[in-house]
Formats: sequence, C-alpha cells, structure tokens
Amino acid sequence: MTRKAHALVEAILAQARIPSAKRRRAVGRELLLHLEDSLQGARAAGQSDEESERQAIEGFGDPGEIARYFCRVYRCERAIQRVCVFGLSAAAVAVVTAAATLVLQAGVAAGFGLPFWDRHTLREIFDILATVAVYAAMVALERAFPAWRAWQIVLGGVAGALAGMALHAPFVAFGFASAAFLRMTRGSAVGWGVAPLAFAMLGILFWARLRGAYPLAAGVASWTVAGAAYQAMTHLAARVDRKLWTRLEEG
Amino acid sequence: MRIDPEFLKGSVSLLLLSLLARAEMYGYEILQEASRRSASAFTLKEGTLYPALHHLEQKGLIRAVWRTGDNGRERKYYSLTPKGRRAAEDYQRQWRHLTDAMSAVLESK
Repeated sequence: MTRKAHALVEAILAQARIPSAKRRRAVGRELLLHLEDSLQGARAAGQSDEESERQAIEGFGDPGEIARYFCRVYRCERAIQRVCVFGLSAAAVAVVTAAATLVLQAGVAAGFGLPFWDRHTLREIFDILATVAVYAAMVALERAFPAWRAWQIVLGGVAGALAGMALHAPFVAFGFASAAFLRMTRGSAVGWGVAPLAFAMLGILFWARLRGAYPLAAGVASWTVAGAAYQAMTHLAARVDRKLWTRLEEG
Repeated sequence: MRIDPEFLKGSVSLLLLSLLARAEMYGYEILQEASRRSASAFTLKEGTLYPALHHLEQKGLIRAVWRTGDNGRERKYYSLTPKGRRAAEDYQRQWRHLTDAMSAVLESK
C-alpha cells in the first residue's frame, strides 16, 4: 500500500477517538484494504499508478469528516468506558484511602485514650467516598475535555459544594469542597503542606463547635492526618485513573 | 443524473440494508454494487461508508466477520441480522410511502 494511503488512514484514526487499540487496528486494516481495492480497480481500468493513487485517495473523502463520523458512532462506547474507569478508580482509591485514614486516626485516638468508632467515623467514611468520587470525576473531566481549564473544573466543584449545602447533604458539600481545594493545590510542593494545615484548621473549628468535647490536640492531630491522607489520595486517584485509562486505550 | 449527497444522508441505512439483504458483502463491494445498481447515481465519499456500517453493526442490524475471500485476501464481510432484515423491510415500506406521497405532491396541479 502506498505511503499516502497509510497517511490518510492514520489521519483518520488519530482524530476518530475509537476506544481500544484493538478496534482502531481493525478499523485501520479495513480502511487500508478498501484503499487497496480502489487502487487496483483504477489500475485495472487502465489508469497510471500515480493517477490510480490520486483517484483512490480523493474518492475516499476528507479524513476529518470521516473521523467525525467515527467519533459520533463510538461516542456512547467511549462514555461507558470513561464511566467505568471513573467508577473503578474512585472505588479503588476510596477503599485504600478510607482504610489508611481510619487506621491512622485509630492510632491517634488510641494515643489520646479516646473511643475510635462513633457516628463521626461513619460520616468520615462518607466524606472520603464523596471526595474521591468528585476528585476522580474532576480528573476524568480534565482528560475528556482537554480544552477545559482546571479552574473551570474547580469552579464546578465549588458550585457542587454549594448545591450540597443547599440540599442539606453535608458529606456531598464536603466532597465537592475538599476535592476542589485538593485539585487546586495538586502538583505544587506547597500543596503538600497546605492541605494538612487547612485540615488542621478545620480540626480547630470543629473542636470549637463541639465546645471542647475532646482534647484540642487530638482533634488537630486527627484532622492533620486526614489532610495528609487526602493529599496523598489525590495523587493516587490521578495515577490510578491514568493507568487504567492507558490500559484500556492500549488494550 | 448526480444526486445531491444531502438527499442521500437520510437514506444511507436503507441503501445499505437493502443491498445486504441480497447477499453478504465487504465495504468496497457494497459501493460497487450500489454504483452498478443505480447506474452510478450514488457516488458516496467512500470513507464515509465505514462509519455508517459500524453504526448499523452497533444497532445490531448487521453483523461483520473477517474472512479470507476467493482471491486469498482477507475481508470484513457484512450481513444482515434477523433484526436488520425486519428493519430493511420496514425502511422499504416507509420509503415507498414517502416517495408515493412526494410524487403525489410534485405531480399535483
């Protein structure tokens, strides 16, 4: 097959956003075979090699338009794949983070001689799940819509937090707010310090709200640990999402 | 007479299903057959045929299998599923109804 025909098929495949490398290869093969048939047909009709190639490529159509049609055909499949990756990465990171955070906090509680498991612990699990879900969704959105700026997604997070407050769903509000905050500080060296510090301040606020039901140091230590864990979680979520997505794309 | 591709857009599914109702074919063969049967009136941009075929495959109206043809070359052959056969009959009925109605309008005084 000629170099021009290969270039044409590659141009289509590069823009078609067909999910999975296996499918892309099959589509590429089918298109190349068609071009080969066209080329042979033109040669059999008495055209020169050069003219046959020109005719086959021109008759095939605009690669951008063909890619757009393919893009539309595979839109639903791509969305399902994206949601699956989001669900898997959110679930995997949530389980790991929830377990690690609770173990660390259990250590802190034991150190201060405080009971570990209460209603607050259950609420915290929901907070972690909500944060991971929103954070993984943010990472997914950034990948699906590369033209979007991070601040637009963060703005969405803030809007979600406000909606959560309006709906009186505190864990939803917390999930959106903390995910937006962690996304904002991701990737910066300062972020590693800012998140535990901000969470420690939340610990002080909660301690004040509960009028010192437990030692201040215990609250601050527990929230600082949570802040560090949440910060680590964001890196883990981004990495798991990237790995899963790459696997699926190449698979 | 050359047909405006805009007219063809809505009827590509009908065209493909009707051709595949006669025999299983691969992409290039479908185009050749369409051109032959329509006395070259249907001149689709060849590459746009494949997204249309994949769309019909996703809808479960046609199925595709890779097979080596008589000339020893591997091809992806498309054929109708039972659902596709019913859809082809239904589309043909709709098309006849539409063309009859359109003819009545065009020929009315």
